[in-house]
Amino acid sequence: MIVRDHLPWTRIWPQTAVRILLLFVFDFTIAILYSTFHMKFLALNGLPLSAIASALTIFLVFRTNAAYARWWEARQLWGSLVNTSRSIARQALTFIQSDPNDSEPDRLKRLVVLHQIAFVHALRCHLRKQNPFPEFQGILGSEITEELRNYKNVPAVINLKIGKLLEEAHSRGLLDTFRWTAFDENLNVLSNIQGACERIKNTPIPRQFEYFPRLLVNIFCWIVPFGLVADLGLLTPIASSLISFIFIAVEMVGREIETPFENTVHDIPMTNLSRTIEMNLREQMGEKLQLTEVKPIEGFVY
Amino acid sequence: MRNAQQIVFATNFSDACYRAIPAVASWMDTLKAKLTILHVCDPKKGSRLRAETYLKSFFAEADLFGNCERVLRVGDPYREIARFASKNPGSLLVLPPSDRVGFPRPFHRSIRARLLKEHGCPVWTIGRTSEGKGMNHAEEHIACWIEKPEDGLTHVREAATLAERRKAVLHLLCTVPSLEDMDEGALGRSLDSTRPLGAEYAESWMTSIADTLGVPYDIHIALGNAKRELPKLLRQSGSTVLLVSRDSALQHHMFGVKLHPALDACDHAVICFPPACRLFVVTLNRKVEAA
Repeated sequence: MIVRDHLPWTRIWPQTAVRILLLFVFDFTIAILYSTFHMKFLALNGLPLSAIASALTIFLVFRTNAAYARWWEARQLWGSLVNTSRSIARQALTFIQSDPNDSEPDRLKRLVVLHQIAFVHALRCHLRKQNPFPEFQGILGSEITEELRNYKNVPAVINLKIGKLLEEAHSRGLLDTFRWTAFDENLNVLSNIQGACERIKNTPIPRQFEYFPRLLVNIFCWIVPFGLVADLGLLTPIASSLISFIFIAVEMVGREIETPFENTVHDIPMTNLSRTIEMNLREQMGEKLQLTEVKPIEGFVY
Repeated sequence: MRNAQQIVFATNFSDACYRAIPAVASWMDTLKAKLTILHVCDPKKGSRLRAETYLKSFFAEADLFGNCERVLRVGDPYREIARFASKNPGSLLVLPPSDRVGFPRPFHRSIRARLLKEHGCPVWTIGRTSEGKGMNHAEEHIACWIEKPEDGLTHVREAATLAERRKAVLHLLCTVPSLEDMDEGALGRSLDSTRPLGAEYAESWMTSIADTLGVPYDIHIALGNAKRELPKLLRQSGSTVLLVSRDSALQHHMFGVKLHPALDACDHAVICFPPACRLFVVTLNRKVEAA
């Protein structure tokens, strides 16, 4: 996620450079042919061009809104994951009855919270298609990590394991049925969050939304100089490149934010959020914090 | 039990570093290696304090790995990385490409190419075209580019060992210049090299090498320019990692050396091996001895 106010040109320019430079050369050629070689037939009436620009703008707004809606939904889901994780930890630490003569309830409480931390990291890695197991070593230990290596959908398995830990607490008489039911609702919320994130990840924006704006922006950028050359003459390349840049940039923004789980600067800051959740949950367990907050690097936070 | 190796990931916190490091972490997990995240703070460009903060936040996931350390050095990036690599022989040095600037840079001196040329450790890198895409971590197919006999067989043996360890298929790739690409220069260069100039000769040469490796293999030969044909061969093989010799990986130009354009055009992880360097072979031998 980008948290700085100004986007450096070194990030925007490499992505647009080839298109803008090609267009500039084309626009310059049109301006020279019109002004120096008097090819007056190259000039088009500006009115239809304005109508096309308006239609294209509406199309681009639809597309950018659709992309932003996906990004915002992803951010809301991760916000909800933060809240649900805190609730699950609180419930584990207060619902499971402690026994001063038995260490088993405390072990179960701790295991539930650690599994919840692992769930968050597992979901992040699952969405970014990364390997979660090196991180699990530091949370769940080697034995459970090795067991989890046998599964493909690791967050779903961890959710199941939390359920089994609660079932164990219930069967030992440490968790009554009402509290178990309340706990289970939060596990359902976790499943729903995972399902919603997977839906965003696996369902791209309809390809028509991707293809047509790109095609139309390209066509529009190539015909802009014909509409401007009669009025602007040799200044056409400058005005035309600027107009083209605006349309290309808007089209690019939509494309970048439509995939919020791809380990790029446009992602939801899942590393930062999962670290926050882990710190909060360890704090709830009364552990001394050794981890530090993930800070933005050059204004970008992952 | 496998031997612990060291993977040194040199970072300047660029996007390419963020894209590459998950794949490197996955390698670390597979090889049971130690991961060192190295940043060299150039005092001309930024303060040490800021570099320290950035280094702590870069790939924060690694804080939970049991065997990861973060190292900060101050000075000239090329010298400090080289010094660190020479103090840790046998480590795999990971050097992602620098970020694109959108302009041609004829005077740019690539730290990656200089390190690969002048230091004896293998270098793991990615091509420029993988920018903006996630790295695939499942290596069921491993490719090895064999260009000419003078490069030696170190990288081929390493590729075979890696394929054996990962139960993967080894794909041996070779590009042979086509008649259209043949000019006086190419013919002149062939006087200094025993590189195969025909597809049939290349196939028999590669088969004779592959038969000594003892792993399942597949041979892919393409006629034409390496820059154009190598990415096609890689796609055809389905490989996600490519092993090459140092001599094939580098290309000399007027102002120094750079990574071969064929590798820069690849959408894959590339491991470049200097001659007589061992990484996977040594580990496997020790494993066998221990057993």
